[in-house]
Amino acid sequence: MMNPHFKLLTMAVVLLTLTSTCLSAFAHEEHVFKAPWDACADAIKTQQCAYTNAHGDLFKGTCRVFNEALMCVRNQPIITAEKVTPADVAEVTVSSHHDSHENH
Amino acid sequence: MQIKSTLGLVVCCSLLLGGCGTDDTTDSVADAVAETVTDTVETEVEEVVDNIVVVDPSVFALNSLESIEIVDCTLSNGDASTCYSVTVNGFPADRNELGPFCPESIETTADDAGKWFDGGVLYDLTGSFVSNLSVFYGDSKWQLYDKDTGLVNITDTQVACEAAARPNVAAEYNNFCVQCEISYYSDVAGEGVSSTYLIPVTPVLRDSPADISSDNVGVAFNGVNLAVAAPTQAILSAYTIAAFDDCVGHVNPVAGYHYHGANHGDGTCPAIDYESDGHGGAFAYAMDGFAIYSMLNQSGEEDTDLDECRGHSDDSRGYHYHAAGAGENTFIGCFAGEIAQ
Ligand SMILES: [Zn+2]
Ligand SMILES: [Zn+2]
Repeated sequence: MMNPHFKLLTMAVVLLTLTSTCLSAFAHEEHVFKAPWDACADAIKTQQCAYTNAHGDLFKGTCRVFNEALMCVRNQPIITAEKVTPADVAEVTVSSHHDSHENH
Repeated sequence: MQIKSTLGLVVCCSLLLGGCGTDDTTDSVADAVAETVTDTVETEVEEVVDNIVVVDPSVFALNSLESIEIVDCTLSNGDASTCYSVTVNGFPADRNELGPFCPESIETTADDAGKWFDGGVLYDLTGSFVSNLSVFYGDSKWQLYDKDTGLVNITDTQVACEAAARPNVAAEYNNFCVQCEISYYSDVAGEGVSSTYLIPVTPVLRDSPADISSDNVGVAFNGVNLAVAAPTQAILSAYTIAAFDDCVGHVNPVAGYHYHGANHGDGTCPAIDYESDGHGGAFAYAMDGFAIYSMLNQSGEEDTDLDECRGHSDDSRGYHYHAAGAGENTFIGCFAGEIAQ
């Protein structure tokens, strides 16, 4: 059985990696125009998603299909850049990570 | 939506249709409209039964309508039903002209330019925005204007706009601001491209939402098509900007003038009224017959209980949608109700 501390550490690393991957993707402004699609690139329909705009505002929603392409459609109020917390991003990341395993 | 008197629609539609010809077909359409509207009044359009409000045909602007009648239809679940067949002329009933779209030069200010959206934000497509595209997109191949004159490369003929608007843009049309005039597709000033929408008279909620796989998301009360997400990746990869006007609409050969976002009350785009209780105002019907309201309420807030289709219910409006932000390249996320096949 896995050491609980190790398990916790692993989870933290996974979380951090996912979060930082997410955040670093947001930071590439040249790819901003793909953001709503990129947010669902490895997702399946109905999975939660999030992306930020060029101002750093956070858009959280659900992956939905438009003409066979998955796009992140926001259904929660926009979280403006100054109010975005790492927890906001982590919450979405963890949730989509969890969902993707559940559905495969 | 407010309850509206539908008597005007009966009279005006009869006049409108009467003006188009006096044959039996036209008369029967006019009669059908009258019957349609009378029936609607009798069933009280605002009543909410099981979360459903029936479609109110009187909300469509009369000068956008070519005809509206009740027809038999089959819904996406296979059930036989009745639908409104709404034919609009495609030109926004609340405006006299379209545009502006592309800025003429790198000096053009927001008043004389349209919009572009990216990553959820709606930008003024000013001259300075165009001159900054290589920085904005981090790609030095962007050069949408003449370096010597400062004039923006605009598709100013039908041939050019169609060449630049198709999926595989020829290299000669890379680095163009794409702008198609409605006059290329309509012989009559003040009219656009006519389209017919089949909308269930009484919306039917689905067990699980349906994807938006058709080109039409819905139709605005002013007669304009609500289109699916614009393929911005394809547009940008050809170094083109498919310019919108302030209402986030533009013209293509198939749909004519159509919207890719809801942006009321900004620049040349007319505002819509809030509901008397401060709820956002309705401006369109989705293809499943549920109304689409503005994103924000009168206090500038957005609801926190929207489902993945961007819909929710309340006692007076039943199930309805709220449009996404003007720069989000969509109105709703999915169809919560059955659409006509
Ligand atoms: Zn379009
Ligand atoms: Zn509402």
